[in-house]
Amino acid sequence: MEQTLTSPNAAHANVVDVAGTDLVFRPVPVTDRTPTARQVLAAMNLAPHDEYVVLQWLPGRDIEEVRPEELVDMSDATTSKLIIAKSDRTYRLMLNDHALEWPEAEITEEALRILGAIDASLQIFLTRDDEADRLLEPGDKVNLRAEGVETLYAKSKEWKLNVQGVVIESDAPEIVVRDAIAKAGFDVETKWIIILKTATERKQVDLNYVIDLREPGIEKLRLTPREINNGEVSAGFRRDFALLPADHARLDEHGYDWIAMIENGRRWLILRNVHLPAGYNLSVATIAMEVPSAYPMAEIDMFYCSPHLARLDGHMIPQTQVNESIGGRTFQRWSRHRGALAPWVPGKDSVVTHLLLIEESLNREVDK
Amino acid sequence: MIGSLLRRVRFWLSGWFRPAPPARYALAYVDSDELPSVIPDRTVVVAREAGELWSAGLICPCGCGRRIELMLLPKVKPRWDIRESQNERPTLWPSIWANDGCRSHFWLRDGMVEWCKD
Ligand SMILES: [Zn+2]
Repeated sequence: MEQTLTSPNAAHANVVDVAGTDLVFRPVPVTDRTPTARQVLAAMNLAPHDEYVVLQWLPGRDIEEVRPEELVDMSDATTSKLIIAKSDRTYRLMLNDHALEWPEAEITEEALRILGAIDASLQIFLTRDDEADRLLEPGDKVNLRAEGVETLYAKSKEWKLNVQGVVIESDAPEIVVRDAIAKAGFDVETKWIIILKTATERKQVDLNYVIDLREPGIEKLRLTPREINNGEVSAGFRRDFALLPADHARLDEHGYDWIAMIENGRRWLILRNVHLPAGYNLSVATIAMEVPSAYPMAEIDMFYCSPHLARLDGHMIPQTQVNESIGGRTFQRWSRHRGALAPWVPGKDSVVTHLLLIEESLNREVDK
Repeated sequence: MIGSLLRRVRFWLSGWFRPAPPARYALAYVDSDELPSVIPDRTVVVAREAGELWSAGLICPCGCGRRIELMLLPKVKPRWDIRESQNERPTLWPSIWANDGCRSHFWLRDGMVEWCKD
């Protein structure tokens, strides 16, 4: 145990700033104008001395170990700082071209910021050989145990955005879509369909939208020329409501040209180009059925034909006198009901079984 | 069928030269959120990334050579639906209408082009 210098008469004119690896410095008075490392440890009651590492940091410069009998450099007393930690070795690293020694096998991003005087507008990267340099996030630590000297550097933040395959960099964390498109070399005057693709969403945006580049990952602006419009929507495969998946599959399987249309709150399944049995004035017609909203619990009743069907032999078709307007077309209602002998059975009956009933009804009328 | 024949005749008579409609369009997928730089003739190429359909691309059937890209992504305007029939032919809905250049307006159903009269 060394003698501690606590005499009230001792000259306290000299002070060194000392911190642990937390880099929280506090002043420690020393008697000697040119203390050795051992004298500083003694002043702090730290023993045995060989279990401690004393490092001197001149801010903005390197960090070097001070051997026990070596003098602490007091030439720049206002900025001279010591880092003292219990350790039996030091680890070397390079930070922005300064050689640093560190008494622990890991160093935090926070400590690197203090040691390198790196402010928040800069990011710290760990140089790597075979892969992209590692960006240190707050709370990260760098492992110094590996062979070789870890090299770190700080550089200003880059906010990146992929504009239709062209990666641009922004100095600010936000960028207006119009500026991003221009910066990437695309014509802002072209009418674009602009989709913002982020890690979590895809969203159509306009030229004035402000993109936040702080989200993780590189955002992408995807551009499509707005040269093509939607044409008619009255035909084609319209799907205003969903059938049962089995219905949908069976209709497609049988090659039906069908649409599912909601009109005035009524749900219509319309089959186009349905072949009719011989004996009618037409060989092909459009057939509709109303699918109640409670389907498949509620039954599908009757069916509708357009244009009007007539028998070639001139006989009247019973129960087809009522007209129904569906999608702007007049349909002939065939009042055909299931009756008590073949009631609708939920779970068994469907659009597909109703189609069989329609087929049977159309056949029966010309079989007579 | 007769209608489309008449329409073709009408185009001829009115001096609109349109080559015979190409054979049926096939359907192909690329694993990307973007279409490839080259779209093969008579093919609808769908950009599909991780199961998400982004867009469909085809070369205009009128013969003008323009590249048509149709968005398939939900909530985008304008957007289209695509359906693949049993024989792997594409159907697009609604119709496709170029608002400049050749001004083609057509349906693509089951890989077949059906011209609209405009
Ligand atoms: Zn064209």
